[in-house]
Amino acid sequence: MEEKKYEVVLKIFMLQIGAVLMILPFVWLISTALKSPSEVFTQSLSLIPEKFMWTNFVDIMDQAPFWLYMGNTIIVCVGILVIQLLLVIPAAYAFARLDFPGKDVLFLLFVIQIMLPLESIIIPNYLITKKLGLLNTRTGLILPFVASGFGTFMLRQTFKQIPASLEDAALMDGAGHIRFIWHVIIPLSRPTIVTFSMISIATHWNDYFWPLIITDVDRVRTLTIGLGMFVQQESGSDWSLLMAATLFVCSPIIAFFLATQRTFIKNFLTSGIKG
Amino acid sequence: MKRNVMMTVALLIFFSLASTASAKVNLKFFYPVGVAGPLVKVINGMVAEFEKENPGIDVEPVYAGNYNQTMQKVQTAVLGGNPPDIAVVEISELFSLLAMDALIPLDEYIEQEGGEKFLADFYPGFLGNAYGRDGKIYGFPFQRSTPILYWNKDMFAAAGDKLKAAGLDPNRPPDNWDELVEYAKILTIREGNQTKQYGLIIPGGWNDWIFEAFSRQNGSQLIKEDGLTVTFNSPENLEALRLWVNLMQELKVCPVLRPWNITPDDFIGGVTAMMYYSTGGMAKIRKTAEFNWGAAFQPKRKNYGTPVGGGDFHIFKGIPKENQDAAWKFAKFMTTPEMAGHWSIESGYVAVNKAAYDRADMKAFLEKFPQMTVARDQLDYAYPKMMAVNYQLIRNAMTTNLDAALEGKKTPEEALADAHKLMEEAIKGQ
Amino acid sequence: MREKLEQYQAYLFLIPGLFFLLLFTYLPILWSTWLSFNRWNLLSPKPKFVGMENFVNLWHHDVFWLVMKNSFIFVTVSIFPTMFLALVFAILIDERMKGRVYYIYSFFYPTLIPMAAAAMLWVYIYSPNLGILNVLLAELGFPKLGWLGSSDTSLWALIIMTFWKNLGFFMLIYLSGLQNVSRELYEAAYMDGAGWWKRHVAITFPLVGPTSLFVLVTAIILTFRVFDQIHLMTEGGPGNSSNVIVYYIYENGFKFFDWGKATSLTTILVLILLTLTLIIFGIFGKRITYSAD
Repeated sequence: MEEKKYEVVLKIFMLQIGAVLMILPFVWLISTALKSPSEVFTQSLSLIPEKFMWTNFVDIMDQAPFWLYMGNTIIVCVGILVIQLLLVIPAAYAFARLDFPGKDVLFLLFVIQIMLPLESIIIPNYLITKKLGLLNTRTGLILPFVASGFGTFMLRQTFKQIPASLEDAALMDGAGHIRFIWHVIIPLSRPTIVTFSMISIATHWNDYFWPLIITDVDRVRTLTIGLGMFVQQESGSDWSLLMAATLFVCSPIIAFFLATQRTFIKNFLTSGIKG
Repeated sequence: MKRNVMMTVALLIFFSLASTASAKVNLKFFYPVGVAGPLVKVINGMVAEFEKENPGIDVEPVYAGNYNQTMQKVQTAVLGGNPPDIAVVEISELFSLLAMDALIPLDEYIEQEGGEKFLADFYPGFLGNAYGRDGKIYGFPFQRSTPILYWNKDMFAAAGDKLKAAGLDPNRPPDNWDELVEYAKILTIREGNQTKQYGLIIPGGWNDWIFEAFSRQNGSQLIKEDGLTVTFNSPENLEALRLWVNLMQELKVCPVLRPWNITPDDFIGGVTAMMYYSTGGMAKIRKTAEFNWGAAFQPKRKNYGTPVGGGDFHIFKGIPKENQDAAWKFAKFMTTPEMAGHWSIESGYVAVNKAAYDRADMKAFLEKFPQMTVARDQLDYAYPKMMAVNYQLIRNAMTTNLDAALEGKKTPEEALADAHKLMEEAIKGQ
Repeated sequence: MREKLEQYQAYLFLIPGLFFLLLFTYLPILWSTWLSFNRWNLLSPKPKFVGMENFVNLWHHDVFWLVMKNSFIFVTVSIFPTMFLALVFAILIDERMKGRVYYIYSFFYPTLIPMAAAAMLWVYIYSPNLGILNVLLAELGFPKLGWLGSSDTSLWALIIMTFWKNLGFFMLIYLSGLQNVSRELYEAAYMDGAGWWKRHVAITFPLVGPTSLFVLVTAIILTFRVFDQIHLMTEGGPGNSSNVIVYYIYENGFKFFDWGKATSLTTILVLILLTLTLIIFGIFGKRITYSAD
C-alpha cells in the first residue's frame, strides 16, 4: 500500500504540530524554573533564561521539605501497589478460572467500583476513615485504594487467555491453585501486570483530593499537596520558584517512565486493552 | 541479691523521674499565610527562638494554607475530636469557633499578667474582634492589618502635567472617593486595545473585606456587631458598590477581578499606579519594588474608615491544662514588643504591641520606610471586622455576588439584595 | 467434593478484596445515603432525620442547578473532541514506525504528571499579565482575556487544560486497540480505491468499537470526578462559574460543614454514575463481562 507523497507530509506535519503544542507548556515550565524572579516579571516570550538559576531548586527545599514529601509519596504508592496486587491477582484468578455460586454478581460488584471512584464518595469515606482513627496516617492514604475494580477487570481478561491445557498439566502434576498462579499465571501475564502496576503508580503518585482531606501535618504530607500549599505560601507570585517546585514534583514520574519506556510501550501495546 | 533488687528499683525510679522530667509539652500550632511573601520561614524562626527560651515546650508549627484553608483545617480538626493546641485564624471566624465551643476564655491568663494594664499595651483597635457575646476574651491579636492604598510615586510624577491640569496634586495620593476616580482616570494609559497601565487595582478574593472598607468610609456597615443583624443592602453600600463597578466596567481604570495574591506583583511590575491591599503585603513590595512608592489611608467618603484584618491567637478546649498554659506562654512570647516588632518588619503587618514602636531597631526601620506607619495610624479610624457564625458560608455569599456585580453580570442592586438574603439565611442556619 | 473445595478456595481468594471493597466503597455509599436524609451542619451538630428536606432545598437552590449545568458541560464538551482527536492521532502514530516513541511521549507525558503540577503550570500560563497566553495575545494585537478570573471563560479554561492532560492517555489506549486491526483490511480497501479518510471511517472506527467503549466510560468517569484543577485554579469561581459537582460536594462538606447537604449531593452523584453504568452496560453489557471470550 503506497502512501502518496503529500499524504505523508501532511500526516507528519499534523503529528508535529500536535506534539509541539503539547510540549510547549512544559518547555515554558522548564524555562521559567530556571529564570530569576525579576526576569519572570518582564512580560517576555523568551524561552532561554538570561541566567540559569540552578539555585532555584535549592531555594525551594528551603521553603518546604520536598524530600520528605517525596518519601511519603513513594511509601504510599508502593504500599498501594503491593496490597493491590495481593488482593487483585487472586480475585481476578477466581473470576477467570474458577466456578462458584454468585460469581457474576460478585464480579459485578468489582466492576461497578470502577464507576464509583473515591472522589464521588469522599464524604462517607472521610467519616469512615475518621472512625477508624486513620486520619493523618499513611495507612489512611493507602487503604481506600487497594480494592481495585479496574485491576481485577484487567487481570481477569488476561488470565482468561491462558490456555486450559496448561492448567490441566499443572493439575496432573499435583499443583494447587496457588502454585499454579505463582508459577504459570503470573509469569505469563507479566505484560498486563507491569502495565497495571505502572498505571497504578502513575495514578496514585498524583493523588490530591484524598490526601487533602485527611492530612494536615507535614509528617505525612505528599508531593502534590506540598506543591499546592507551596503555591499558596508564595501566593502565586514567585513564579520561578513555583515552576521549579512543579518541575521537581514532575521529574520522578517522568524520569521513571522515560527510563522504562521500552518496557512500558511494549507491554502496553500487547496487554490487550481493547475492551 | 538484695543489692540487685535495690539497683533495679533505683534505676526504675531514676528512669521514671527522668522521663517525667523530660516530658515535654507538645503544642500543635496551626497558622495561615494570607498575604504574599515567604512568611513560613519567619514563623519557623520565631518558633525556634521560643523553644530555645522554653526548653520544656515543643511547638510544631503547621502551615495550613491561606485563611480559608486554615479555618477549614481547624474546624475539621475540632469536629474530629483532635483540635490543635493553638491556632491563628481570620478574625471573622471567632463566632463560628465559639458556636463549636472550641475555645477557652483567656481572661484568667490576662488577669495574671495584670488585667487591664496588660491589655493597654496593645492597640485597642485590634482587641475589638477578641470578645465573645458573653463578654469574655477568646482571642489574642497576632498578625493584624488594615487595608491601605499603595501608590507609585514615579508614575504620579510622570503624569504630573495632566494631574496639575485637572487641579490635582501629583505629590500626594487621592484623599476621597471623587479624587480617587479622577486620579485613576488620568493615570490609566491605553494603547489601542491594550491597557498599558491601570490607574488602580482593587483585587478580588477578599472583596468582602475591601467592600467592608468602602462601607465604613461611607458611614455604614455590613453586619452589625452582634453578628446577627445583616445590613448589607443599605443605600450607602449601594453607593459604594456603584463606585466600585463604575471603576471596573464603565471607566475601565481598574481590571476586573484580579486575583488577590498576584496583585502586589502587578504593582511591583508597574502594571498599576495605585493598589488597594493589606499592609501585610508591604514586606514584599519593600524588598522588590524598584521605584518610589508610598502608602496612605484609603480615600474617605464621609470619613476615613476601614475594618481591621488579620488573625488572632486562639487556645483550644479539649487539650491538657499544661498545654493551654504553654500555649499562652507562646502567644505571649509572639506578641512581646521585640517579637511583634520583628514580625511586623518581616511581613508588613502592624506590630500589635505599642511598645514595639519605641524600640530602637523599629525606629531606625521606620525612618527608612515610613510607609509602615500608615496602617498603624489608620487604626484611629478603624473598626472591628464583621463577625458571624458560619462565616465561610457568609463570605461565599458575599464574594459570589460581589464578583457578579463587578463583572457586570448582576446590577449592584441585585447583587446586594441577593447577598443580603443569603447572608440572613446562613445566619439563621437554613 | 473437589468442586466444593474449589469453591471454598475461590471465596478465599475473593474475601480480602471484597472486604476492602465493602469497607471503602459500598458501606460508605449506604451510610452516605442514610445521612442524606438527615440535617447535619454546624448549627445542628447531631444528625437529625428530616426526610427529603435536603433534596427539596437543593431543587430550589440556584447554585445547585448551575453546578449541575457546569458539570454536564464539562463532561460533554471534554469527551467527544478528546476521543476523536485521540483516535486520529493514534491512527497517525500507528502508521509511522519512525519516531513513534517521541510522538507517544509528547502526547502522553501530561497524563503522567500530577494534576496538581499541571494546575500550577496552567495557572501560570493563564496568568493575566505574565502568562504566555496573554503575552502572546497582546503581541498579536488582541485584547487580553480574563481566563481563570472571568466567569465567562473560567470553565472553558479548565476544559482546555483537562483536554491537554487527558488526550495522551486516550490516544495510548486507542493505539493499543489499533494493534488488533489487521493490516490486510486496509490493503483490501486501498486496492478498492478508498482514500485515507474513507479507509479509516469504514474499517478503523467500527473495529475500535470496544476500545471506544472503554475510552468513553473512562472519560466520563474521569471528567465527572474532576476536582484537583478546580480547587487549585479557580476554587469554583468566579461566582461559581467553574463550580462542578465534586468540588461543590467538597465545599459543602469541608468549607461550610453542611454534611447533610454534602451527603445528599453525594447520593445524587452516585445515582448519576450508576444510571450511566446501567445505560452503558445495558447497551454493551455482555461485551464487557464476556468480552475476553
